[in-house]
Amino acid sequence: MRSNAWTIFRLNAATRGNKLIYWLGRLPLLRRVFTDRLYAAGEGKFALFLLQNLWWVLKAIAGKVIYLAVLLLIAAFVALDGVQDTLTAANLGPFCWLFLWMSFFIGALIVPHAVAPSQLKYICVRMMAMDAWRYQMITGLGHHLAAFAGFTPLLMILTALLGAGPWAGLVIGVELAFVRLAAEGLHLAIYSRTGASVGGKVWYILLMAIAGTAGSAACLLALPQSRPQDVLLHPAVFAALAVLGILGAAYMVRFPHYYRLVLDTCKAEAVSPELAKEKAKGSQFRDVQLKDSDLTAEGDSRLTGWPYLQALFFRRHRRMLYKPVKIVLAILAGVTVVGAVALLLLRGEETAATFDLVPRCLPYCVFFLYFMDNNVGTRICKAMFYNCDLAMLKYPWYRREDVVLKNFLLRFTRLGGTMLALSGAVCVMFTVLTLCAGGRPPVGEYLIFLAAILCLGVFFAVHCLGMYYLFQPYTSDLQVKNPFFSGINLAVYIVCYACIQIKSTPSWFALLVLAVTVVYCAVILTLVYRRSPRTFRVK
Amino acid sequence: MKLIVQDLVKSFGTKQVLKGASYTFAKEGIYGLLGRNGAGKTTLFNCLSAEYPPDSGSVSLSLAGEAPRPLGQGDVGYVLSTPVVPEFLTGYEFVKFFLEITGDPGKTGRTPDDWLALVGIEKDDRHRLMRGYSHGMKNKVQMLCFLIGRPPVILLDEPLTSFDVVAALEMKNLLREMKDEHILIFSTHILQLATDLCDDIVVLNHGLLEEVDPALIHTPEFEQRIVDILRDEGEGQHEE
Repeated sequence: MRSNAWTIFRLNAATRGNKLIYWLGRLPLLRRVFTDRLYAAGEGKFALFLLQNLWWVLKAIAGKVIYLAVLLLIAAFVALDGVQDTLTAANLGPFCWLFLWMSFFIGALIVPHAVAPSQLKYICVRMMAMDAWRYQMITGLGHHLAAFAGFTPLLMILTALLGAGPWAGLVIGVELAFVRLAAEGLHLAIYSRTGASVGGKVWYILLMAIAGTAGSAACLLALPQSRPQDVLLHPAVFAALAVLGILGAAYMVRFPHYYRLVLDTCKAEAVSPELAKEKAKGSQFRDVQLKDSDLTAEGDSRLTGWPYLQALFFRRHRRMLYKPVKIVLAILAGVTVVGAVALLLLRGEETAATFDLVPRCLPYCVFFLYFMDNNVGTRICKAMFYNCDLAMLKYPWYRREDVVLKNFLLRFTRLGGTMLALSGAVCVMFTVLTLCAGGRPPVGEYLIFLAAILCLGVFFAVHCLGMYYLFQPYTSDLQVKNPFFSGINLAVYIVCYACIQIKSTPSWFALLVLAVTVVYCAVILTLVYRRSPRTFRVK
Repeated sequence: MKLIVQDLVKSFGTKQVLKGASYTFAKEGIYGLLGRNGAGKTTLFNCLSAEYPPDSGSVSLSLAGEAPRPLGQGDVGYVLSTPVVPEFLTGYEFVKFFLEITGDPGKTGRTPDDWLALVGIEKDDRHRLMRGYSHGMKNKVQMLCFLIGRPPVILLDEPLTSFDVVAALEMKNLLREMKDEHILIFSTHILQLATDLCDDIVVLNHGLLEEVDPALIHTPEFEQRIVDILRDEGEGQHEE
């Protein structure tokens, strides 16, 4: 048993030490110090492990302090007169109710240690053939002792601050330890009966979270005046939890199926960061994966070469590209028809006066078009990468400067055309509604307004495709790794969002939109022309 | 035709994988590149194909009767061990498209069907999406790009490892047909395959390229000689 415990400890120390060296080695200033050679330095790694553990303990204590403070605040806010009662003796009862539901119920029951997958468990039991019972006993004891030692002193300080003395915190800490043991036993019993573990399952976590939140809300609202003696400090409660905890511990010790449990709960993909990454990497591209039904479209036999390739691409991605567009067009058409009928029926001076000011709603159009176009553009760029460029960029002929620019142009024509169609539909909608309402906006201002909407379509096509070609942010592991790409996209979002905050639209706003659009498009297209043959690569 | 590799150096972090590798691939033919796991074969291929640049050193190509010049775009075809093809196209569409953009450089007058038949892709499969192709079929399509595009240098990173016996034989025959017009460099762990297919053997050992006497290739001592060279490679090889 002792040698197993020592093995687990050393293994854990080495794993954590290696992780720390790896991450520190990625920091620019520390890269020279934390080199690959340090992996061989056993004693040095042990020191790093201790350092990391110290950090982990400090982080855990800080987390628990914040957790308890938040519970105290919520208890006072919900059950008492307000947060000014947070540190009063009257708050201990409500706090006990909240703590019971949050820590005794949700915290203890969601994923008990015995059924939680871990890399260490996988290595020790599945790869090193360590006895599963011994592993669980050693790590389980460590886990529960650490939890007890972490929570109890803080609970003692807290109950002392609330006037109940430190012993009350000690009792609650011991009760929590009993509950954790009982939860372990309960989960093992469920596994023993059903052959499956519910710990960590999404539906189970949601169920526990909802039940715990509802239970705590009900108790705080229905029993605001309860005293701690009625809840966690009641002798009968302590006795009952002690019995349950002892039963749970006894069940844990006698449980005969730990190896089977490890096989069932500790699968490679749950504990291996590589496999988890592998599993997750397709997820962000799931929405652009082709379906068999997409692939039936035939190519245009009149086209050849690059236009043929891009035409086939867009035809086979029409579901992703055109379906959302069709939905938006249908909504716009519906709004236009219904709005037109309503305006014809309710036509009057007031509606006419309102529609005289239609060009003033351009800021909202900016955000609406951003939302609509960016969604379509981002999606199709992801599809371009995942279904075409990821493979094609492996071929040198696809990376040639003239080819990159030729394909950019072909794609821009398609994407720009789609976005212009959306902008055009918005223009038609405004024109029809304005005519039906009898609005008479100044013609010059209205034409600039329409031009700005059309330009915005081109703007977002340039933005989406330009960002993709300039930064090509996706790696061959299907991750987004480019801070500039994310940063510029965020900046565009902020600008578009800021537009809807404009309360009184100045008359020159449309001209500003036009000017910004033209300048931005010119800059991006120039950059694409100059830089994309070098930047359009798989990272 | 000559491919001249001079003093190639490539490091990853503190690990130097290529330590001044030099070798002249002096004529058309199939060259076997042997090396232990992690010896840097894929790194060498990546440097030759400009997937990423070497830290130092040069690679130049000398076509018949011409002075050596740096390798340019289109000089190297790289058949990856895991083939990548645009899966939204059928095999026929891809070959048709490729013929159109390259303009059939060999002026063979072959149609997409002719090319696909050449590498043994059946009629029914030609109009199936490549998404549904097996590893071997994708590899054949990838090879077709080089048959059509005719780059002087073709790098093959363990291309036969995952083929079934029939596909492997077909691919070997294909390589033999191509070898008179190309420098084909073929990395493999399988000694038998190297002796069976290759005209010359080059070993990547300690980050350096080393020729094995061609006279030894078909002798009983060959295997022992290769093992002797590779055995002392030691630890700390770069992960390929």
